[in-house]
Amino acid sequence: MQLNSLIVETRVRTAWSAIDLGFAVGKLFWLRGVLLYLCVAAPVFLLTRFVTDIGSVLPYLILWWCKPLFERPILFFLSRELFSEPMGFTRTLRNFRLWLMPGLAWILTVRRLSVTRAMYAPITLLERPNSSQYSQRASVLGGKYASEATWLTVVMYHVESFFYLALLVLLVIFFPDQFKVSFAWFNELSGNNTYVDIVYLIIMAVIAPFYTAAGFMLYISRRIELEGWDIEICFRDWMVDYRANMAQGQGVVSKQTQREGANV
Amino acid sequence: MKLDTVALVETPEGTDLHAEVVGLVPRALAYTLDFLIRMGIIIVLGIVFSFLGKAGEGLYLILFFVLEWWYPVYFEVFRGGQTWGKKSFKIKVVNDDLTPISFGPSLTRNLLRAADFFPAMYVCGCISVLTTSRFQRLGDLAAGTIVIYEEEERYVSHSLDQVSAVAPSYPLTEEQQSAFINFALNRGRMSRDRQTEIAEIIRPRLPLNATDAAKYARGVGKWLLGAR
Repeated sequence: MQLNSLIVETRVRTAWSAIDLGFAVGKLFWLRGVLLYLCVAAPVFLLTRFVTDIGSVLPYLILWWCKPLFERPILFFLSRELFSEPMGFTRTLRNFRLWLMPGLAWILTVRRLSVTRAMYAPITLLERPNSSQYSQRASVLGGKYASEATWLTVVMYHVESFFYLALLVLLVIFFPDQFKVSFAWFNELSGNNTYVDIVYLIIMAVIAPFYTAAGFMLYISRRIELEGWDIEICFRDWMVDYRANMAQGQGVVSKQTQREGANV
Repeated sequence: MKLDTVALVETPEGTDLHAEVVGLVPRALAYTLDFLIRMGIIIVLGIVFSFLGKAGEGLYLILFFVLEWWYPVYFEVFRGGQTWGKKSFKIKVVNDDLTPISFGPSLTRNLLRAADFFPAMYVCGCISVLTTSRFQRLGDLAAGTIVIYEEEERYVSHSLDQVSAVAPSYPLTEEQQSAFINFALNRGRMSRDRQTEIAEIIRPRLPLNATDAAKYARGVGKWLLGAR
């Protein structure tokens, strides 16, 4: 892990500020994040279409339950790009062995219902601890930021629903003749209408890079604080400059002595 | 240039001012808190004015209007850019040159809430905050304002009681000073081994008699915090 190659500013942050930084990171890698998300989510979406009965609530439940799985490629991709390692879209997909299976059973079972999952997902994916190590790591890393990580999940859940609601309102505004707000319409919307469900899937994908990146930045900024990355980077840069100056200084001195030698 | 959430402003005098801008999550929560406070007041007022008949109804509607549109303006102009919600999250509104917000910009940004609200539940404002580099909603863009974190006093110096202050023997840059200070405060509770590991990096710059690098670095940090 080369700390110097981090693309984000390393300093001690509050949890809110870490979340904000996560949104900046999410924006930077947004498009590739959305596509990665869809690469995993779309097959699952199709499966739920074909396997379960129409009209059942099960497809939605499965999609929602698998959200941590869909976020994994984004997290893997971010974890490499954050240290300036060019990962990109295709290479992330090609490296699916590194992010698809490790710890998957955990994050889709006991760790699924955690409201702070965005912050803890990097522990499972990147550190791959066994279960006792995990709870230790989670309490060391997460304890302090648990409340903010919870609010992150709450807010992003609402943002997702609001985007959906806003699209419905837009439809009604722009096509008032075709769409009338009524209970019948809402029933139709919630009754496994494929187009509606695809729109909802896309909204999920649009939000996911921000949510994943914010959770990841909570994790990273806690590690910066716990392990003194900011100090280490500053000291290392300083020593690089210092050695360069020393070398230059010696060069000057030796040239001077040579010249003096020549004068003599 | 590393990615950060800081707004930099260069003044005519040539000094750089910077402040951390506030992103979507804390802003949404501060807004929600303000909203709940306003709703609370409106419900209480509704109960009180319901006893006053038609006149009460009229007065109630006027008060509702005032509260809905002027509550943020009042707080931003007269209470240092902070509504109650913003205050509880330690954030405030300022002009984008970091000067205190005045009446005009405050009115602009709050009247444009309507644009941010479109088409429902502040979705346009949300998209704007997510996509602009200084996390501004549409009202902020129009009024030239940003929302920043209040400067916080983050030092707890009693953790340094056992450290004796050491004056550094050479000038330090601003980054190096804050690195020493952060080292001394040890906010992340680094283990002794990790502290030594980091402090040993600057071994070439340590005085020859400093055998314990970590102790020396902590001492410099304490000195930089003002202890002598």
